[in-house]
Amino acid sequence: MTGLLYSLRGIWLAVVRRWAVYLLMLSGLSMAYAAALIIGLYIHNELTFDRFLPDTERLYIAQAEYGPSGKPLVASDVAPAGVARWMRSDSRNIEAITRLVPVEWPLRSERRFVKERFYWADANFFDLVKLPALHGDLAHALAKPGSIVLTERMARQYFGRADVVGEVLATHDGLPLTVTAVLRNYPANTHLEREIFASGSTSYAMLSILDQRSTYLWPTSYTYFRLKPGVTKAAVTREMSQLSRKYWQGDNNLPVNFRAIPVVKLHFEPQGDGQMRPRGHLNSVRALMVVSVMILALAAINSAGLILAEAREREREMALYAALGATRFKQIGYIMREAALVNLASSVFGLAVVERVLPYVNAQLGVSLVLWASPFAVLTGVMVSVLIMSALCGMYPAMRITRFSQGGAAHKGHEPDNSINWPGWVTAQLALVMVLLIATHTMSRQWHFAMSEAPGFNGDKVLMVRLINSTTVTQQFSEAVRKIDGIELAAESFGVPTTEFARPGWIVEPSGRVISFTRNSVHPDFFKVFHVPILSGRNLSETYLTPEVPREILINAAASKALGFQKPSDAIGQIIDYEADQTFFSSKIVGVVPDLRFSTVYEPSHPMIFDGFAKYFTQINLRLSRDDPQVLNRIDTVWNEAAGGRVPIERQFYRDYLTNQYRDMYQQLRAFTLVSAVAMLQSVLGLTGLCIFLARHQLREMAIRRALGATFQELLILRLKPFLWPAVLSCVIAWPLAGLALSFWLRSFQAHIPVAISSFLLASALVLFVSAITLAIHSAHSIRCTPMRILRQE
Amino acid sequence: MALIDLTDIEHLYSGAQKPVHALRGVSLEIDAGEFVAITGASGSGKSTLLNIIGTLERASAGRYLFDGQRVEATPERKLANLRANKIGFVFQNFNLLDHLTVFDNIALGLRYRRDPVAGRRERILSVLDRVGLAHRADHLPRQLSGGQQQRCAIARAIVGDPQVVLADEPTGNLDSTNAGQVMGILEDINAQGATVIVVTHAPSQADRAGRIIELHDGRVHMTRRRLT
Repeated sequence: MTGLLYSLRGIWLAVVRRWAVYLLMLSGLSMAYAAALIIGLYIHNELTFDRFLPDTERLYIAQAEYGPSGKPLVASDVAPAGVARWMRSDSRNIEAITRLVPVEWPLRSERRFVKERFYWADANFFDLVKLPALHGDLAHALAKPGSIVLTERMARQYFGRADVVGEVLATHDGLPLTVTAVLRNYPANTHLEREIFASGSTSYAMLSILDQRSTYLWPTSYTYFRLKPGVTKAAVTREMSQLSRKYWQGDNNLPVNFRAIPVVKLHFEPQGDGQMRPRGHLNSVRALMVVSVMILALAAINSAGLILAEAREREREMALYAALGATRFKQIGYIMREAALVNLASSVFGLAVVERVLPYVNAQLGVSLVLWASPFAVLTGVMVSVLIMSALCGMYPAMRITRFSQGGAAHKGHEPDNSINWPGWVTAQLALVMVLLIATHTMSRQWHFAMSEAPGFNGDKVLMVRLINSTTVTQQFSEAVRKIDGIELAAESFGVPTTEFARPGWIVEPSGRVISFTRNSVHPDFFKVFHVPILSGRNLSETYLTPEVPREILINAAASKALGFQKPSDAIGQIIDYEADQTFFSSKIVGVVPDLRFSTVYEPSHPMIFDGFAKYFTQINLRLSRDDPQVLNRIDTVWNEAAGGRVPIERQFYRDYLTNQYRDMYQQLRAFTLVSAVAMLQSVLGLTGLCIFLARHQLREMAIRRALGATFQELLILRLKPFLWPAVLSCVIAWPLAGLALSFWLRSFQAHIPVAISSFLLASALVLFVSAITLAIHSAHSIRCTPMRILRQE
Repeated sequence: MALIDLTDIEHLYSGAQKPVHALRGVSLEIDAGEFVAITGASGSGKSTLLNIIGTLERASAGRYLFDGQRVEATPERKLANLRANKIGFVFQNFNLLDHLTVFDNIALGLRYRRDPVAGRRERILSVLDRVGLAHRADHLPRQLSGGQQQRCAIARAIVGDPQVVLADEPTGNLDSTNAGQVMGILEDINAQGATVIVVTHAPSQADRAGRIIELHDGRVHMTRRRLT
């Protein structure tokens, strides 16, 4: 014990004596630990999506694919509601099947009244998706119509307490929903982004309505099923396709194929631009993992360099210990203990930093990371890192410093060479930071591309208002809203420009070639609202309600090309026969519009046709002439008048919709910006440490040269010149690496920007500029030291 | 006019605890071609005075004229130029660069003079010959004896034909034989016209100078000339 205290005292004295070097080491290591911890928490969050759910081994979600046979065109996480009905009655392969239908309806208690996002759920939902109960019996909680289950958090919001079984919430038209169970709060990393489940058997619930209307087979339901033991998922999806073909009565497209995705993998394998949580990207997670390891490694190497900067002084110290009888093993142990203590202290600082910045990181990334969710795992991870980092920081300098101490002080002709391969690690550091900055810049460009250029139309200042299933309300609102001062133009549409109801259509040519496209139904003013020019021909002249009647259509440039027309004007007046929504059409092309993208850049964009079929219009798109809250207030008033105050308005700007669609990409961008900033700071600290190292080793040389008449500028150039090659080499390494990685990353998008040389130039210029400034500042400082004093100190 | 003209030179070191008054009103003139020895006890301000003469440090107060040029008003860049062209330094601990050969160390004395490159090699070889190190041109400093290292340092100081050679305890690390050789070379340099200023503790070496300036507590205590 006395020995340990003595040793600790020695280390403390060393720290006090070399406080600047230790401060630098602590800063770099703390930052690295904090960054690695945050990235670790983020990676853990991503990789444990839905893992809190028990018994998920045989639990799957059905994804439906639409399009011509054998060539699915559109895929979605939601399936028609009928599939579960048919499987429930006919399937021999599943144990159970259940559904969720998302809804946004008003919910009211004495404390709260909002348009709430919740699910209509089948009665057996909690048998398959085993969410933990806090109050009530989940086995029967959704059995009775008019029952509702909510999380403890939502219970507290609506009622101010958790035990609310038996309490009543009012919904649309004041209809009551009785709370039958309360769920424990579940983690944020689940695909279940809503926290309220209402009984789907309620007469006015969407699930109940869908079950009563056997022809309404639009994709609406998240369909979960549990396989019987020993059954393959292929057998079930095959069965789904067979039953769909057998029972299909809808006037929309029949799913040609189904896929079964394990619930715990849905985060990384979603289909379509769904409403679940932002999709995860396994490759980004892997890249972040590598980067966090590299940041730790760089911090360790920087620290090792700083310990070596003190080598000369240390050698004397170690020689003294050796003279007093310390073995080399003991001397190495002394330096290793010192490295371990510095790492331990840094990890504590790192944890404190994470504790402090985590709310900010959560806000920036749109996640809910919790540091102490599993204290044992976090502390074990930190301790293992401390051990590895201590070995990395201390072992090499310890071996170098103690190499000559056994023979007493270094003697002439055998001076220890404490030079380090600093050009190598400067190259590695700069290359890493460059790769990260190039990646971040490219991600930023891709995000901006997705948000502005990819759609191919101008959705700014366009407000989308969802229409409800009431002709009177819809008609009254549509007419009144057009008269509001501040509304430039209005146009109804079926789903678009969102992807809620993407409908494939196709032409089978006599040769057997299939030309696929998506069918979009819009009001003629749709193109004016979104500033889409007509390339050739004219706009649609009207809307219509009977689908069988041959009507005029518009096509986009991609469709014109797919149909074999040399130029858009060649398509005008042509009649095409096509199949869509289980119907054969014969329509005349009256105009051609440019290529538009309603899906995200993750999904393929197809040739399009536009018609004026108004039966299923689901929204009205309003172009506002100015940014004025008063206009929004007037729209709300008009809605309330039309809906009689029973259903709150559901509206969002297209820009907000798009932002929400790309929140995963934005999350990735933020994560990479964060690690780039940390890597850059780490690099600055590393270069500062290197400057200290070089200053200690070159101060005498600088003084000699200054005495011989070298000017400040000449000395500065002399100090900076050796960094030229590492800088050039870092570009040589970083550019192809970043180019390859980004080409791979960009290939995960159906529409993407090209890898641009500007990203490489900007990133390299920034890294080299920051490095040069860091080196110049520290070098200038060391050069300005009085030379003669140093020359006499030897 | 004197080559070196110091008037009321004061110098203060702002130390961590208490400022140290290294020079207190030193005034002296040194003419071109003189051989001057500066002596005094440790801490008397000898090396500080030499640093100020060599323009490596600026005086806290007073006036310093080098060859008629006011040093305190001269920018650092011009002082560097002055050191490169007119002043040569010799240090007690040689201050050779370990990674350069003898030849390259001497070449360093020409590097900052901005002279044409042509003819440099001949000048270096000539000066090597003059200090008796022609056969050691390709050796590294650690392969030389102390006396040889100091001769190499002197060669570096004189390779550019400076007006003044400043030597700070040039024999402090040498035995008497090598010390004698080094002092002989300095006398030889002086004989060829250069002004030589030597800081030394050893009375026997100071006596070889034409004038001895003795410092005490930062002041010129005594100046005496050698009787010829």
